[in-house]
Amino acid sequence: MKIIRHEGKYPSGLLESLWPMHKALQAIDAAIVRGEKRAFFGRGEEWKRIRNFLQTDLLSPAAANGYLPGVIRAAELASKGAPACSANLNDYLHRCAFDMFTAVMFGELLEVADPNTPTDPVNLQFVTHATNFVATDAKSLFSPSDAIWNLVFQRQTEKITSMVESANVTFAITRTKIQAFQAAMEAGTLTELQQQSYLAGAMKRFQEQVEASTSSKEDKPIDEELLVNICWAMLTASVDTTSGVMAWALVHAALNPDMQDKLRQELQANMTEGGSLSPDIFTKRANVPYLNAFLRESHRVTPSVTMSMTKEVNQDIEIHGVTIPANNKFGFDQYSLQMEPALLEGDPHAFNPERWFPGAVETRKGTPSEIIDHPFFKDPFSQGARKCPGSRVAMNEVFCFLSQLILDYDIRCPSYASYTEIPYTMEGVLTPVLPPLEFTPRK
Amino acid sequence: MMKSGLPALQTAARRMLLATTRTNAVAASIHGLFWDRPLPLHAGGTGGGCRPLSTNSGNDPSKRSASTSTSMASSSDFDTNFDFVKIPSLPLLGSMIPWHSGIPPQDLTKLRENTLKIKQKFGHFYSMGVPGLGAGSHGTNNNSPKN
Repeated sequence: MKIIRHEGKYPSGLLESLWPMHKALQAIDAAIVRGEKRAFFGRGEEWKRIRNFLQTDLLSPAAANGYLPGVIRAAELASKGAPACSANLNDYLHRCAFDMFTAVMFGELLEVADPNTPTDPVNLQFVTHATNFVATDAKSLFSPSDAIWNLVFQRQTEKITSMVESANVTFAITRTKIQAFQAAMEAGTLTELQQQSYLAGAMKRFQEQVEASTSSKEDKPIDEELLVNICWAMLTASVDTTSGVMAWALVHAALNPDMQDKLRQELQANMTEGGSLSPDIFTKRANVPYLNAFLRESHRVTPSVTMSMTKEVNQDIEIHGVTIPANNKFGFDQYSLQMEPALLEGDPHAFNPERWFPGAVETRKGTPSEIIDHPFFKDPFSQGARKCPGSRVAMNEVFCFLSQLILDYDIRCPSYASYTEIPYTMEGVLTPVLPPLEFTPRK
Repeated sequence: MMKSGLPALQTAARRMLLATTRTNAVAASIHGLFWDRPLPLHAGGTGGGCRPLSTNSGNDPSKRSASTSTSMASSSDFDTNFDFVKIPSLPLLGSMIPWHSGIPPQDLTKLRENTLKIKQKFGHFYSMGVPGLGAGSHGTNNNSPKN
């Protein structure tokens, strides 16, 4: 908290540290990194202008919840493909995340996840390249040799070249999709879901900004190229990150059939008359307390990142009696304390959603253990003004998708007994190498 | 921006040679890898002027008593020692050389386990050099309940 308060006018965030991404985007002269102070990858006025535009109609609870009908419908369709994909679930989950976010972004139900339905190969190409772009960025970040070659000697490594290729492909697809959307908007042929989409709102705001702008630098509107860049960034980021969180949740569900039953009972008590999930149950987490506790526990034992925040202070700061000079960078280890034996009841590695029931939280109050209930530990999306702008939409996607799978199937993991045995690696985020799971239809 | 090719190598080499203290070395290594940020004096720039991080006592990781037990433990056992530990770091390579820094070898399939090991060995509050990621000087990990 103290560090966040010392960030100054332009807070720092994770994006600034993603040098491989910056390098690749710089190589294709992307508008999102062009100009003063590295634009969206920096923290000047340009960052603020882009961030403000991007997070409008996305970050607030009301905005994120407004997309729930589309996300639920996309999850229903995606869930149908699970049994056919049981041998390659990681790729399937990437496609599920893409389906749900394109429902938000474009108001379209693309059904890329379900292999039983026809799919435009362009969408599959987008998923493949978006995944490669984000995963290669993460791998480069953890590679000292890549840092040295690219940053010290200014020699582009194979990883960055691969990212450049993926950026070119995904940018071209995004541009084409936006042009098609714009044409439909001008022709008045958008569906109801498309009219409620993020892009429809963004295009209206874009038009309003253009009409209201003067020639002054302060109110410079977002231009069309930047709008394409913003949509590209959101689409690309939405695939590999959300799917990592979903993958861990799926692992824990498959390994704990008794918990599946509890989740199912909770969800079935909140269905619509038509037998679908109701958006209303996800607008308040208290409506689905067991699901909420289940996902909170999944984040505790298998977080998608261990270091959820990186912050830089713009003035000297004293932490625990140590003076840290300005311009130093801080990381926030979100994982270790949540696995601290002295702070938890029982085995810290045991998966136990009941740790997050209101009674358990109340018991921790006033003890050192209450630290794990601090909001900074509850999700992997950072905090403050640089919190992930898509965080609420992403969590809604995870809630909806897991719920739909549990309503549709009995899920089992025949090859492992514990999540600790399941190998994982760093893709865009820490992701399990999913073993084949059994999906037995319930309907 | 960083200069390319030979001038960049020369600049990096010069910074390495001028890094006379451990604090300077870490600072130089991180700065040698970062984009276009000017090197502040306190971070160990070529002009001398080093203002090292001030620390209180207790930097000996061997004195730590982190528990790896999985049995029930009382929250009164929680280690509330927040002494600052500087993990050894080298120019350019940061803390990525395990035999030098004492951190586990970099392994993307063991990040969770390694995070626990680092906390167990160095405590709640430490700094380490991470090439490309650290800014200013150290990549400092602060995990303080109060701050």
